[in-house]
Amino acid sequence: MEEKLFVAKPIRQLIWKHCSRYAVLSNGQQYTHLLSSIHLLKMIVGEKILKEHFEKRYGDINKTLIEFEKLTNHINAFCSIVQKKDYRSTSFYDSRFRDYYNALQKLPIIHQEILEVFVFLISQTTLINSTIPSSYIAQASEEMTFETEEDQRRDKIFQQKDKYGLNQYEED
Amino acid sequence: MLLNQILQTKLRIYYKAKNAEHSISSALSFFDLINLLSVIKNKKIEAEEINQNFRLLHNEIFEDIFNKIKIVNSKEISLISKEEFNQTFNFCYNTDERTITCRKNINNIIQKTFPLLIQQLNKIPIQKVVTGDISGDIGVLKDDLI
Repeated sequence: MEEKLFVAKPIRQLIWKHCSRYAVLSNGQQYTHLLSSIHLLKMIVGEKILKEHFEKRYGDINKTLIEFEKLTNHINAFCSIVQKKDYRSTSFYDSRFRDYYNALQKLPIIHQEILEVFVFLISQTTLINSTIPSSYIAQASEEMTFETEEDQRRDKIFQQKDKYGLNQYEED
Repeated sequence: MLLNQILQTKLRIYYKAKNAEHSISSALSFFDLINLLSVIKNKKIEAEEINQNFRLLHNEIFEDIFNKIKIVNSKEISLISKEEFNQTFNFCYNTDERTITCRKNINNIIQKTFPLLIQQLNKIPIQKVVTGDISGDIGVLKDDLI
């Protein structure tokens, strides 16, 4: 059996924290946590092993990682201004808002390649056989910044209107 | 085990987002699910329909958004009012014809693809793990969805 790299407790907890957020969030912020996990894992595994595994594809993978980093920066920039604020009130004329959506449309495409790196890195460590503690997942679920009370209120009104077909009526 | 747990949690989150009818959020978690599954299965998602629908869904959501970004970038903004522009953009909560059609299309594609995705999911052994309140028993979850 192939020997796995041991991950010290503080780093293991940090990676679990990022992984739990990657699993739970679905507003774009999950990608920033995926990037953080990759950075930490890369530090543990080392460039050499990564290079040996991906061989000729290594250069392309590095380029994709740089692109991924740029896109997640746009997401971070946008998310930092909408915390505790209704994101739908953000103007489309704000370049950060446009960049955020621009990043969102590119990320699902390159996500697979990034995940390939993540899965490989994690398979090299003892983390592959671990499970994220339930408290981390519960904590991550409380950080879904885009789900504000205002969101829930609007959802409820929208659903009620939709049920009775009032939405189309209002347009007329 | 860790990857299974992430997959399992994502499935649960998708299920929650789907119920909330939040199109972008549910579509994003759907993309995540497909990508994660294909990597765990070592790029061997056997159903080509899933990959096709991935592209369809992506076009449906982002084409409109991308066109609007182009308009703003090319400074054609004076042609339409700011309110009109912002309203059309936030399509998840808007009620115009284009938005409603878009939302219906997204739901249709997801509904068509989801059973296929579950089929693929059944082919990989998912270990039962304890994961707090978000994640539950995958067996029960799958029954709910199908």
